[in-house]
Amino acid sequence: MTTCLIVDDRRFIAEVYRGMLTDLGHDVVVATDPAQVGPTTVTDMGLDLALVDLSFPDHDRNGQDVLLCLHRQAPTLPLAVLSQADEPFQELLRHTHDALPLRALISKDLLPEEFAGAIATVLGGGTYVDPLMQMYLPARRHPARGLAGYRRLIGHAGHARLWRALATAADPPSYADLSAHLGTSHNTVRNYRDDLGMFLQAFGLDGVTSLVSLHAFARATRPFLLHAVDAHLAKDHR
Amino acid sequence: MSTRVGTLEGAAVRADERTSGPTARGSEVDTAVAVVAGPAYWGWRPTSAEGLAGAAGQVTLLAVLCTAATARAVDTDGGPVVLGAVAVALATWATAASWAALGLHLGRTVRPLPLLALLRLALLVVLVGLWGAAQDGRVALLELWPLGAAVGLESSLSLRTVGVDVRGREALLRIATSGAHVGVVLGLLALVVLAPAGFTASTALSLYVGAAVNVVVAVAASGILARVARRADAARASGRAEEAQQRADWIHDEVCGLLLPIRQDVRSGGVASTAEVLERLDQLDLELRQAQLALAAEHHRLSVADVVQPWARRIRQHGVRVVPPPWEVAQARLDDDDRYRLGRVLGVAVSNALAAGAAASGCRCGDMAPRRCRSPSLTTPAAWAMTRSSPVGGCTGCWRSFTTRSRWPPSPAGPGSPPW
Repeated sequence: MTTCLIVDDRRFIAEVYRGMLTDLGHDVVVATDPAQVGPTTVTDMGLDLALVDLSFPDHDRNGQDVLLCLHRQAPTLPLAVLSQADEPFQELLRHTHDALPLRALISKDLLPEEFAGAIATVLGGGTYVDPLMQMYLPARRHPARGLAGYRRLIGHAGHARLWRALATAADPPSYADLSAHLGTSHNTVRNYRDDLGMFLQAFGLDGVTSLVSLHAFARATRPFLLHAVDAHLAKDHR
Repeated sequence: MSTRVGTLEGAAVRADERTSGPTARGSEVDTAVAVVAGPAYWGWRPTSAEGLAGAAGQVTLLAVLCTAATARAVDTDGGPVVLGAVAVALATWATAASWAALGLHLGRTVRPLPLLALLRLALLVVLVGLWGAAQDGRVALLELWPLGAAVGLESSLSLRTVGVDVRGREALLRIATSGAHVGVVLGLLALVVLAPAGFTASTALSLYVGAAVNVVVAVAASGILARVARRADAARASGRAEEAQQRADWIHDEVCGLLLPIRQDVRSGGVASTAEVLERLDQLDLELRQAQLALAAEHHRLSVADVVQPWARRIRQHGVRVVPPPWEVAQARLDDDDRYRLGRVLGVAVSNALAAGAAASGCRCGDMAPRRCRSPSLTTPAAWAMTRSSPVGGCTGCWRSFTTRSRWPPSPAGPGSPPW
């Protein structure tokens, strides 16, 4: 018997999928808060599959945090995104797809029989991409935008600090905000901004040059970016 | 100069990551250099009302300077225009234009910041010198007030782009108590006492008053533009609040209003079957998604995928297999007309496909090489009881939608294949 984890803040949706997976003969664990997924969840629960929603508007963490946390514990654990697959979340979906080796992308309105087929495919070692999500994703992952690629977005500690400020600020910050926050001159922030824009070009993203667009990117990739930031700063401290 | 900045809500910075920050004085110098460099260096683009106001300020500056300089050159001896005076006037205009162009456009690519700031400061000094030359050697700073206004307007743009709020009175107080002001006053006094004959107290006073008027005009212009921008921000915030209220009303009137009869019919046994309830829920889902897209379209251009997905969901709920357009095509952005047209065609096509008992349905770009496809069009085959061709400018090829009754995937040439 396999154990599946469902992470969705809407309990009634999680229960629908719990019912479907139970009917298919699987054990199911439900989490409605991303914080319930910790650094030992995979081994504690003996997980064989995780189905994770991406959007958690009422929480500090989102589905990317959960997926990254699970992936770091068990890189071979099959991860599936369970999402609405519509316009508001396409950036989040695209970055998640590029950063992590997702095994399934499932739209929430997939019919039960197709859902069963998707789960069987994933547990059998295959991959499944819902046709609705295919429209939002290229056929192949971008080679530069894997999890390791985020480390190339940081040249030095100043860049790392700026990324952290951008990724954690609720609204797009100004030069003055960042300058006061980081304790640097406006011009230093401006120069870092240019550097980050160049790094993003190599990352396969053109035209991300303003603080507003950098902030949008940082927010859409927050867990992956902060993972790289922490790694860089930890290396610097050593 | 006020240096109010917003708080970086939610932003995290660890104590051990904070570098030694600029002192208050250092911060003022930092801000002053930022202003001298001009707004373009900070990424400002003239896309808003404040941009127009800034551009208008520059035009005003140039027009007044040109007119005044030419008039002075003509009037110098009451006769025809002197060649030298014309040269000075032309140099004045060229310097003013260079200063404005660097600040509003070219500064975006100039590095490093100190070089740009020095260059623009030098241009400003040259401009004042040329103005003096155009005035037949008179020191006439008082009449240079349009330059003060232009500097003020541009400063406001720079400060706003950098994120520093400007308050007029506070700025004047800061300038009055600044070391620069004290230095100017002491310098003028020293010139009166030590300089050779000709530099009298009245000359010093006229210089001081002229400069002071320019500073006051600059601060006033900057404050006025900042106030206009703040009002525009407030209006936008008010608009957002109104929009939120409209959405709340819409959810109440439309969403709840549409759910209510379904619930009542289910309770009273007014529906014939589960299938009928599902059909009505699907219809509601479609309407909600289209309303969501209509709202999103007010903020940005939607993609083919955005328009296709509500219809793909609808057809899939009927057990029809969906064949989506590939990402390269689905990401094409549509303008309002094309979005509307594609939505209309898909609406008819989906209805017809369902009525025809389709097993699979999709829309596909017939020609994936956009350069070879000179006139992109969306077509639906006669099998969908509709023959129509309409241009879809945002798409990158010839679109065809198809339906088939056979099992999916069909053989390339067999019955039920897509009609191309």
